Amino acid sequence: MSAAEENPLLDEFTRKEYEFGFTTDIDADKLPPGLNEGVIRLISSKKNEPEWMLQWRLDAFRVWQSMKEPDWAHVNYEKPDYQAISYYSAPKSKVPLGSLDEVDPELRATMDKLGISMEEQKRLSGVAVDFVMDSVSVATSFKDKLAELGIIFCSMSEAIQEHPELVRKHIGSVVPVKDNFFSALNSAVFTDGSFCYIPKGAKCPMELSTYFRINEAGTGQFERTLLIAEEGSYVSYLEGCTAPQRDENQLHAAVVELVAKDDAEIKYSTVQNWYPGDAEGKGGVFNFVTKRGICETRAKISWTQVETGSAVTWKYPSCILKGDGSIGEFYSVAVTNNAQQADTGTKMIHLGANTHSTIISKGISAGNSQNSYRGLVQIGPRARNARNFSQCDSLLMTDTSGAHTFPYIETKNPTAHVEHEATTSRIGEDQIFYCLQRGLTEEQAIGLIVNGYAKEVLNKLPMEFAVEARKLLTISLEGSVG
Amino acid sequence: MLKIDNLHAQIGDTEILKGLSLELGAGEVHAIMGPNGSGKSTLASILAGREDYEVTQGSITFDGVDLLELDATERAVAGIFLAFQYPVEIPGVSNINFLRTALNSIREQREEAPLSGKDFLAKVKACAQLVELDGKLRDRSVNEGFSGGEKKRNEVFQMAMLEPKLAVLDETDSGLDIDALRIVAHGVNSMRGADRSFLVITHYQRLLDHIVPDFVHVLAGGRIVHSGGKELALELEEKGYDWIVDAQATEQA
Amino acid sequence: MNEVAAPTQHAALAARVSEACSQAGLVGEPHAEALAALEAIDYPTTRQERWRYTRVARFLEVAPSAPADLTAPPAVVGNLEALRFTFVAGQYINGDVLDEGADGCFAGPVSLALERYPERLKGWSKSDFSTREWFAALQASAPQDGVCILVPEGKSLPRPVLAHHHMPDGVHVSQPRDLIHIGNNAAAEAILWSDNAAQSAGMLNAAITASVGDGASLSLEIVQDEPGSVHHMGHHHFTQGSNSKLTLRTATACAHWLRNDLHIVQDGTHADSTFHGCYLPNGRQFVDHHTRIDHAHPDGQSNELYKGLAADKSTAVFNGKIMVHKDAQRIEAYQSNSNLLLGEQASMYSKPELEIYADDVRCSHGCTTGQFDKEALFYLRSRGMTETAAHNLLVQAFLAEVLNGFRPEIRDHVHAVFSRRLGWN
Repeated sequence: MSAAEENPLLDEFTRKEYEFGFTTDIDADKLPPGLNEGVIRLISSKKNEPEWMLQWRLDAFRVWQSMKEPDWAHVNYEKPDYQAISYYSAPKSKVPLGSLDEVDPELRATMDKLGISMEEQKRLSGVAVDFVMDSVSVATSFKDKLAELGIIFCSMSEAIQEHPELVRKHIGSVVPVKDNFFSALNSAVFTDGSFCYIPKGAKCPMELSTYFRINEAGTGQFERTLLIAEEGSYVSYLEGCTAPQRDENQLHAAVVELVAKDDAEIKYSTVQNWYPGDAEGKGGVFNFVTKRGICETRAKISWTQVETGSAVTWKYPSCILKGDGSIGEFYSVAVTNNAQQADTGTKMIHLGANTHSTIISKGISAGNSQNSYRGLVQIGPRARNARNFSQCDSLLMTDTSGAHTFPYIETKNPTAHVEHEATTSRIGEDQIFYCLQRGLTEEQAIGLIVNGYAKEVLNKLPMEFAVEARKLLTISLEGSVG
Repeated sequence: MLKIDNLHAQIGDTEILKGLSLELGAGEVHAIMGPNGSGKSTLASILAGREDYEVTQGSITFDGVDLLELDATERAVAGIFLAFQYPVEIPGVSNINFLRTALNSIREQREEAPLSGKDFLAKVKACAQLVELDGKLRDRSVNEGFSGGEKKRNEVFQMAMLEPKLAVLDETDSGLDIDALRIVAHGVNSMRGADRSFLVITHYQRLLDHIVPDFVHVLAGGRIVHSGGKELALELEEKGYDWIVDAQATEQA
Repeated sequence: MNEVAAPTQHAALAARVSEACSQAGLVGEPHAEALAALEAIDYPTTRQERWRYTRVARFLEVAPSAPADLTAPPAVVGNLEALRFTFVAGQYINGDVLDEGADGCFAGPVSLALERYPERLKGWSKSDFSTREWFAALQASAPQDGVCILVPEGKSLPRPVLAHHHMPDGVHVSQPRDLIHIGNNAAAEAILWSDNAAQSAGMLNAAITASVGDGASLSLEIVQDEPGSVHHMGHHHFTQGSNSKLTLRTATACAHWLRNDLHIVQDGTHADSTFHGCYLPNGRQFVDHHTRIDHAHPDGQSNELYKGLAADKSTAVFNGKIMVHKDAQRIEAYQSNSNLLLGEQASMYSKPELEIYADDVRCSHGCTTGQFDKEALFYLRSRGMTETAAHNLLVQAFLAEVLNGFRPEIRDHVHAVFSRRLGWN
């Protein structure tokens, strides 16, 4: 008897369509596939960039050309053909937009389908949204309100035009061009992204939010996010990602840089729901992202992520705890199902004294997926009294999935305290039975148990996101007990 | 209301129930007593629909419905409640959220409208009072870090919330001190009514001082070997099980 | 630091080692796969995941000579009753050979076993390290003598075996191999001891290969007490049958530069593996324990516990991998690694890994790195203890979980070595 016959729910689940798998028919201004200096010059000129930006891109391109695409121990995929990707795709309605009402109706419909209708957002939740569709930021709301506090929240393209000195000073300062193959590629070809600047002492009164979507077929998304929190400031930033359903793989290679100056605090939350491919592993997004933040004295960076999508995820949001007393946090839930592969975790680099970091990682593996936690905790020789606590748990739903834990713990200071714990177990049959006896359906039971298991992480998400994340978890795992 | 006829059940290759028959009328309280390993908890698990056991012979009907055709959820919806001997811990899921999900899931399957937040909370308050459940326990994760007594009280609390037609209490008295026992019994007694039956499984007579049964059955070797009124419990307490079990053995021989 | 070794450099090392070993005398034929592997495998660098923290460029400088003096060293743990065998630089010196004939137990040098019972060594005595790892391939390409223990089905070894490997003064290379075969439902206990002279240098590239049959048990204690400046590379490979029990304890009492590669394969159901280890590098020493257990069949258990201290400018590395294969259900595997970092410039690299492809498992690992509990230290001192006495006691307490598993004679020896080395006695 096959697993599907044994469990009709499993069968039903594997046929479940990707909820956000629709494409938007709008005229796109798209470059033919291929990558060379000419393409980079074209991207730069289309965006009307200053000379220094072009030179920076070209330097990055040369660095990238000299690099080799990495091979990873626990991820198997067919490497993208970088000459078959189109490196620029912008919705054609490119006249500067005065208000939300001027946004292309098709685009608006897309946003509605995603459940992030801007009016709704504006009216109800007080979230400022920067919506990035295929790399170009379409519209940004709440700008005026933020401007009063001196907060800049705009697209990267706009920032390059309007605030070149800030961009020039910080871009590449946290994730150097040559950091890795994908950061070099991104530096050469990035088309847009979000830029955020919080001036000294300002507390951003609302959650800043961006939605990323890969829309156009055969486009890679290379967005670049730069977030600068000046001394004593605070910001909470949300990022949501979806992509339409396609047969071919789509590449997503973003770079996110966070700069937290003395006493500043940045909360960065991600709910990632890129298209994971179908049950056989066809299609889906390759999510190769470099996210890193640097903390000055007593600064704090907190990464929270709920990852349910993408065919292949390779992502380690990291903190460089440079300043004394700085704090890094990483809270993650990663769900893999069907043929998904995820290799995700964090790096906590303790350089300053009295630096603290916390890592809570909850992996959930279903279907035939492979889910790995990979994390580095490094205590440098000058990091006196550094502390780290890591807890990495894995929950297995089927006997055809895998759960792996690869922590690297490097300690070079005798005053450090580093603690790492990890467990791997199967979802509790007695827990499921208990729930069923109380009248819950199997789907509800699994949803409830998994949400309970991931609670520590979900609780770190801002309210609006937490609700969505809980729903996503349940949807991603319905009927997936083997 | 509940009719069990010639029930045979096994786990793996070991037969545990060997022709058990039992009938419960609406509003009745039946106690099942018996030595360790006689199959008491197996009976409770089978009634609730645990899949580890295989029923090889016999039937169970509940309100005229073939119970063995229903899965665990459907049985709960039909009105069967099992108070677990070892209540399960579910980390990260608050008691209150758990109950609300359960209650509304049952209501949805019965095609009833979900309970409003206000009504739900009023009900929680009333039921919690019944078993003197601390408000803090309602907000804590299901059974996590509860003491033995708190877990059992929580089971009765859930029973009160879900208002079953048939409540099966599996060794609810085990691990309780006398005060907790009284509280649990009070909770059960106040739920007794014309359309609610109880099957109280216990090893000791003392619970039956507090929850007075209409009938007492002795389960031994996978069958009901003796039935009687509430006075049977006292007799068992005094003389142990051996005389019945031995008599049965002689009879069979 | 440039880690890249030109092919000619490590090929030259292989040639020097091979020549020195051949001069002293090889035991058995080098096997062809090992020779091929030696050509095919890249020399380890820190860019390879398994060698990330282990620098082996120094090995390339080793220019060994065959030792002239093969005098037996003084006996170790003299109070322990055992069948004793002594090897110096990979050569058999003397021992209490046990030979019960073709159907009975055998304990003696591999050279003698090859002479008397070559067929009993067939089929199990090559470890797969020798085709995967450059140094293991090097060892297998020029193997030298070690102890051989053969216990046939249903038998028990009457007394424990104590094999003592010694490296004399001077720059030498030694590539011994110890071979242990425990038949079905058989049992044995053994101690494998390596030490060296104070002025010794060069390389000890040693292999231990053991096969534990169905329902069999093996209890093995490995003591590494090496005060010279020898570079020690150990390849410890164990295969277990169904319902077998392996208890392995490794004490790295002293080592200038040492890496143990331990690999346990549970090749049957209901196998039980316990493996504990302790280490305490100081000065500029380097100690690296790489362990891996493969749960390839259902219902296995494993319990791993490694504890250590790194003092002064030393470096300790722990890498433990628990691998649960597909369909190896109901595995219970536990791994724990605790470290105390005592030196301002000491480093600890810990990488506990879980790789799990079955769902009905209970696996966990924990890893801590810290220092002495200041409260405990203060408490002891307030009771009149000197700081050194208090340290000594706390180290003893910290390592007790591991050390108490050894026989008392060995436990006391290892503890004495630790105390002496850190100046606490």
